Amino acid sequence: MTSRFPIYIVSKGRWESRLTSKALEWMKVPYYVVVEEQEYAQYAAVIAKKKLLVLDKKYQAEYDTCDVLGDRKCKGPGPARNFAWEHSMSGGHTWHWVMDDNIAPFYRLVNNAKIPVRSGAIFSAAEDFVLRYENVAVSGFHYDFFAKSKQKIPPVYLNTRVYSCLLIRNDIPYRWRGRYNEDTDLSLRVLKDGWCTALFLCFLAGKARTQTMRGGNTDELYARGTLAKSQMLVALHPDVSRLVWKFGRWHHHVDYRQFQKNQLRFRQGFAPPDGANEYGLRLVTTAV
Amino acid sequence: MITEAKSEVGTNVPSTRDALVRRFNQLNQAIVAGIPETARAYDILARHLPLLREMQSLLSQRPKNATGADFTMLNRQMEKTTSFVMPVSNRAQLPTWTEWLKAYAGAIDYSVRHIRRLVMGEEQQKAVKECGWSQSDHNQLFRAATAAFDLANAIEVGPLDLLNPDWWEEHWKGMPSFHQEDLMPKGSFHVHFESEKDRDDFIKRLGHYFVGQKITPKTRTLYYPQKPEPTDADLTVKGKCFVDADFEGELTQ
Repeated sequence: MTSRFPIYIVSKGRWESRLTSKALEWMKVPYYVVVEEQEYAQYAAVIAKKKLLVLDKKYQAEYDTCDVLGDRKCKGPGPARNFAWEHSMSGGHTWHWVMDDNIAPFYRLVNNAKIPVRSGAIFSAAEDFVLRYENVAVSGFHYDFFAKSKQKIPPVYLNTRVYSCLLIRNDIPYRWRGRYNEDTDLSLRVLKDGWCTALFLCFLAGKARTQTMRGGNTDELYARGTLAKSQMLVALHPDVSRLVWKFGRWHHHVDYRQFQKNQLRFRQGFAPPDGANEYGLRLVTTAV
Repeated sequence: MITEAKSEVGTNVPSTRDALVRRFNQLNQAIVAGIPETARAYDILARHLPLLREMQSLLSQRPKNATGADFTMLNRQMEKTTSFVMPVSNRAQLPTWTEWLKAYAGAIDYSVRHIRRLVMGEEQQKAVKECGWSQSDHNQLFRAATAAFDLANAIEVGPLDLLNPDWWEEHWKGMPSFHQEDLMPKGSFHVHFESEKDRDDFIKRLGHYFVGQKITPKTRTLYYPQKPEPTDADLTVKGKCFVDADFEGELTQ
């Protein structure tokens, strides 16, 4: 079982580690990797060429960085994400997955245990869940380290930010923007317009913490710390965010409470079925 | 200095001999004539400023026993406010500077304090008032205000299912099973030691209750009754994984 919507991994400088690519291979889930032209050869040496998409430079040139630095600084993953968005639409898809390149493995949280999943069924289940509603715009898997095994938590959080591993509805009138925090910015724009977001905790993305792994945005964007990153978000959304210093670096704090009023609406005619659907998943002990 | 002429208390005929009264009437006439019926114009105040300063100086010379309490600046005729001046007849009818200024401020819709500041040439001080509240008091006020907003939102939105910890059950039907217990400790407290000797003594005494469990100065948490604390890593099942019907790998059991 696999996802019905295309999966895009936006990758830069990580052809050696390529964690997400390896995880999806392990799960036998098809995917694309969006790479920059100058790194194509390195990626092509380790990933099947049919899975590689070279980022059209037009998306970088036209990208709204929300600052005045222009091309003097890396524009982050936004241009490649917009490229993936348009690519999925050109293929006639109504949703698409877009993921960072440092995710591995994917987990299912159940009975207070995080268990690796070697199947695309979790993508399929997440897709089925969001398709039940007419007003979910952005969805995705939470980081594994934010879902505490010992805590009583729901399988999904509503109306909060979604990042790194996203399932996006293609017909919403937004595109990625901003050099940093583009995930939070997109979630906030969606929520402010009354859409819902769904962040799964029963399906998790095992992810290296931001700024702990070389490659990607780490080297270029965060070379001077996180202040500019957080300042940009506060400048874009001063009504819900503020700048705070904690854990030894600058962070942004966003208050999502006001979006609790965005209520899920079932699609017309949909009625939740009784019982559970395991999507063919079974727990096994494997040699690998 | 304008010297006082013979008192003319008791007559309504404006004095033309008392220089102070004469000058008051002139100033009052000049100022009142410059007040539009509906006025809040900064330029009027700016134009009047030299006259106001002279008026203040002038009224400081009024007799202490003067009774100008009934002073009005803009007079109403036939339900319409007009800017004609009622001349005073003698010094006893002169208003105090405060009375006059209050009437003037009301006429041009400025605060007395602001005009007085301009007349005195004082710069506006943007001082933060000491309200006597502590930082903690302020924070509590913010929290109370935030809670009030939240309550107002809750009332506006209606019953918020997200506040119900089990809101998801109805929405999760037909999805993969999900069950999660609360395994968090139900209470914890810190123990502080004033010396390493006290700490070591405490650890020694704890050994009585935690038989067989190694407790060292580096131990940070304990469970009572004694049990190994499940860490997040412990709860990440190693060697197991979820697979589907397409799985072709090797199973160990």
